[in-house]
This record gives sequence, structure tokens and C-alpha cells, in this order.
Amino acid sequence: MDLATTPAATLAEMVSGTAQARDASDLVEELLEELEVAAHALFTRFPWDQGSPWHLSKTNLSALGGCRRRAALAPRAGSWNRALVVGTIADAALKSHLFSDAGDGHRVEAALARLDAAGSGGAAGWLGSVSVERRQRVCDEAEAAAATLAAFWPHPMSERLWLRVDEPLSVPLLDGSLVLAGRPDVTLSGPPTDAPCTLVEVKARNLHAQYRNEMEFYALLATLRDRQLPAHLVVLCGSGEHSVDPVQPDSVRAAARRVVGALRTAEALSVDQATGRVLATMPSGLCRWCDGRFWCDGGRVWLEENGLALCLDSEVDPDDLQCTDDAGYSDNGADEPL
Amino acid sequence: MTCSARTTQGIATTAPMNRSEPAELARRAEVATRPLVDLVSARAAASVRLARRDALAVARCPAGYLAETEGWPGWSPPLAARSLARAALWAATSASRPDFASDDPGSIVAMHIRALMSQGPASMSSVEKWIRDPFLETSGRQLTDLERRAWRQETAARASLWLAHLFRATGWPPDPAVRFADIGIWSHPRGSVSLAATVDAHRVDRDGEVDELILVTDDAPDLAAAFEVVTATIVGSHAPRAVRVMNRRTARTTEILVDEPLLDTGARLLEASAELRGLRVQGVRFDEVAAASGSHCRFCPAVEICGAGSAWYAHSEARAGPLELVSQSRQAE
Repeated sequence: MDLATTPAATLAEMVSGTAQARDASDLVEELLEELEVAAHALFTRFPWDQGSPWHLSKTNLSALGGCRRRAALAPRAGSWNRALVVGTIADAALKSHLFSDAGDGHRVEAALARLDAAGSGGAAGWLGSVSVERRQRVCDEAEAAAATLAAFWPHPMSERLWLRVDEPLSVPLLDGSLVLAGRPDVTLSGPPTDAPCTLVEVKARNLHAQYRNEMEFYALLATLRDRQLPAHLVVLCGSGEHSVDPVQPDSVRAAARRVVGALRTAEALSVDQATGRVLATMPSGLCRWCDGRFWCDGGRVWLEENGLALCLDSEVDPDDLQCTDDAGYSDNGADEPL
Repeated sequence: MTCSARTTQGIATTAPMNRSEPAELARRAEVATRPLVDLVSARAAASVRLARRDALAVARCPAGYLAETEGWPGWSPPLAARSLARAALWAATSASRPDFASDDPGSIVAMHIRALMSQGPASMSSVEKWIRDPFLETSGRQLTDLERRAWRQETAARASLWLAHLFRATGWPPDPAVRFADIGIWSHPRGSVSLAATVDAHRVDRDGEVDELILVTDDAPDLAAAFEVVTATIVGSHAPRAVRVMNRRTARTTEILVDEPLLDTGARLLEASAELRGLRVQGVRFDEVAAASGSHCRFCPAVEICGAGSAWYAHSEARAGPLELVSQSRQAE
């Protein structure tokens, strides 16, 4: 079913009301054991004594699944770029729409006001730091994405959906030393009601295959928390694309395997770093946003060979350059703080 | 502390013990707050209300507690969320809406805000008035219409999320024994100082006595439970049987049975917070008391000028293990 060409109410009808809760107690025991074993192996080798847990988020997970050198360069806090600003505004605009009794209009202004109310002034600050023309282009892009995203939802929202935004999903392992953490943009239904939850993520631009992994990570967290499977995983994109995937036990298992893989990679990465070994590189479209691109030989060669040498100029915004590589989806660099 | 219990999945418990006499706890509270009453009276200072927040701040770091600014910071979406959610619950469960459990949990906050917008502010609580017409209390600046809507929406979103956490602890629909009203406030016989029970819900037994306190908190659940059970016991002259604590991030519920050590821990917290609040009323500076460093230093207003806090940061960076590579901070290769 193509939601983009069907009435907006279809999304709500599709993801709520009909699904039955599916007990996953056995699956949870199986996965927790698998995850605890992997976490224990890592923490035995590299004890974590920071006084607060190590949070493994979808961003860390994604980083650990790719280039090790890039994984070693954690994103710079407070680093804003065009993609992040557009995504942040579109996300806030949709959340504003979901809690609004009034009709739409002035989506970007409403989103910026919402972000200000939430104490998040980064996007507004970035917009204030660029030229009027650039600011207008970014606002136009965000407005278009926000309008498309809003069209996915019925308005006014059905209160039967029991909608929450930015609900934290955390699963502590090893008595809380390691926390698997996420925060889906929108959560519908779920315990303690009879209806299983549906997790929704909002993206300002195009649908990308990588998002399925991210959503399955959320499904893993929700399953471990609720001891029942979520009903659906939904990705809504500002491009008008979307995906609605029913959750199966195998998709949750796949996410757990990726977490185990990430923990093993973290262990290997730590060994490499501790022994001074050169970290393995895996050049891709993501090199455009990597902080190491200015000195990493592998990244530099890849960018030059793919016609993206301009990214090596620190004055150029990588978001302004086109990339055809499959891994070159827009990279925000960091999750919101959990 | 002997009341803590290992939480596996679901609910963890400890063995029950005899309960302290409520009168003895009230006596300890009266003795502990007497110097504070004297101070407030002597200085003609504003009356003081001690609550869980004070007790936990004191337990974390006495110096950090003294570094906090005295006074009400004004409503904001994070501060107003819980109060709005509780006001909405109160409205939903009041005599006018006895059928609220047939509603969807998602409708409670939205319905209450709609009701607030259509009423005059006369009978509203402070947070309800602010929701109806939010403004920046810190500067007194009036907000534009767009900003007012945004602040209302942000608060509503946070309140809805808070209710979701609460309903995970109470179940949905809540059984008739669950009450959402405040338990109450204890005031020192000479006034000026009061003690507020700030539980999020409670369950009553067949006799109508408070049987179980329900807390939604991520912050030191054992200490929060200890403090709240003591205040509730003093206020209600009856010791609850248990405290159920819901962790918002993990959605795990821990049930802590009320026993002598728990009550003693709570009473000691109360005594420590009364003493330290007295120092704050006297204007004692944060660097005149011992600081206890830890991860809470990240949120302390004095971290940049506190020796212990600065040392904690430096040590924290120095001991950052290899895992820090893939964690939050930037690392140059």
C-alpha cells in the first residue's frame, strides 16, 4: 500500500487497532543471554568505570558497523550542518503538528518555536549564522519536508493511538554498566494497554536501506523492555517515501546480532587503539562527513575518485555535493542526547 | 543500605520488617526542622518546604546543594510537565469524570488542556494558569501566539510521556484502589517549615489507608523511596507497606517493602536536608562544606569553580578507557 497516495488516516488505521500483543518472553531470555555474554567479554577486557553507563545508541551501532577509523572519531558535539538543521526542523514540525489542535501553516516558525520551548536553540543559531539566501533555501527545504510528513498523519490526531514523542527506550545490561539506548520519534500504543506498540521514525529526506537496521534496533529495545513484540516499524520521509514493516522475531534477532557484532568490533577497535595499530578504513560516501577526511589517505582517495574532492575543502558544506554511493545517505553525525 | 534489592525482570522485593511508630518519625521531623524554623523566623525569610528533591540533592553533594540558586525558577515545559499531567489526572478522576478509565490514556492531557482553554482562570492551579497563558517567568516576557502554542505543545508532549510512565507502574486502566491525589503536607507546629510528600500515586487498602506509594523517578530509587515513605508516614500517621518505583528509561518496576532500615534512612535524609537547608538560609557558601564528586557534577552550577568537581572531570578524562573511543567525546588520532 502506498501511503503517499492514500488518505492520511490510512497510516493510523494500518498501524493501530488490529494488531494483537505477541508474547516474547522466551525470545527475550535468549537475546539477553546473548547480549550479556558479548558485553561481559568486552567489559572484562576493558573495564568501564566512568561512574555512568556506556550508552550504545543507534549512532554508535552504525559507526561500529562501518569504517573503524571513522568509528574512532566520535561526532563533535554541537556541530550543525544543513542536513541536521533540515532534519531537526522537520522533526519538530511534525511533533508540533501531532500536538496541535489548530490547522497547519508556518511550519518552520512553529518548529523553531517548539525547539526554543524545548531549550534547543542549535538549529536557530545555525540559521542565524548563514546568509539570507542560504537560510531561505534551508527553510524552504524544511517546510516542504514538514508538509509532506504532516500529510502522513490524520488531523486532528486520533487519541485512540496513545501517541508519545521521544519516549526513551533503554535496556541495561551487566547491572547497568552498558545501556542499549534509543528514542524513537513517535511511539503509538503499547503496554500497559492491550495493543502492541508501533515505532515511528521521521526522516527529512529520502528513504534509505540503513534505516531498517535502525528501526530493528528500536524493535529490539522495545521487545526487551516490554517482553512482547512491537506491531510495526514505520519510517516516514520528507521525500514522501515511507516503509511500514511488521515486526517478526527474526528481525529482532538480527538486531541483537548486530549489537553483538558491534560489541566485538568495539573490543577489536580498542585493541587496535591500545596497541597503536592503524585502524582499518572502509571508505564510502560517509567520508564526506567524516572529521578524518582531511588527513585520512583512504578517505581522500575515495572522495577524489568519486568526484567529491571538494569535500576536502573545509569551507565546503558536504551536503551541497551529490553522491551516488549507496552508503551516502545523509548523516546527521549524532543522536539527540538520550 | 539494606532495603535495596536486585531487580531482575519485573518486580524485586525485600523481606518486610516491623514498622516504626509514625509518632516517633514525626518527633524526629519536628526536632530536625526546629533549628530551621528558628532561622527562618529570625531572618524573616520566606517559608521553607522540604521535599524529595532537597533530600536527593543533599545525598548527592552537600556543596552542590548550597550552590543551587534559592527560589522558584518559574514554570517551563520540563518543570510543568509532571504538574500538568497530575492536574489532568486529577481532573479526569474527579467526580465530574468518573468514567475516565474508559478513555484512552492518550486523551487525558489533551482533554484537560482543551478544558483549560475554554474556562476562566479563576479556579485554576498555578501550572494550569501558566498552561493557559504561558509566559517566561524568569524575565516576565510575554510570548507571541506562536510561542505560546509551542510552549503548550511541548509541555503537553512531556506530560503525556510522563503519564505513560506512570501508567506502566499503575497499570491501565488503574484499579480502583489507585489514587492520584496528593497525600498531603506536614507543617512544623510553629509554622515556617513544611514537609511535602511528592509521590506520583498511591494505592489504598480496604480500610482506606495508604498501602503502597508509587514513584516515577530515575534518580536514586532507594533514597527516593526512603524519603517519601517517611514523609507519607508522618503526613498520614500510618506507615505504608511498600513503595513501587518506576524507572522511566528502562520501564522497570521495583517494589521496595517498607522496613525499619528504610524508614531510618528516610529519617536521616530528612534530618540532613533540614540541616543543610538551614546552612543555605544562612548564606553559607558551597565551598564551605565538603563536596562529593561524581557524575552529578556534570549538572552542577558550581562545577567550574569547585575543586572536587574539576578534579572529577580531570580524572574522568584521564581514566577514559578505550571504549571512550566509540562513546560521546571527541578523540584525536
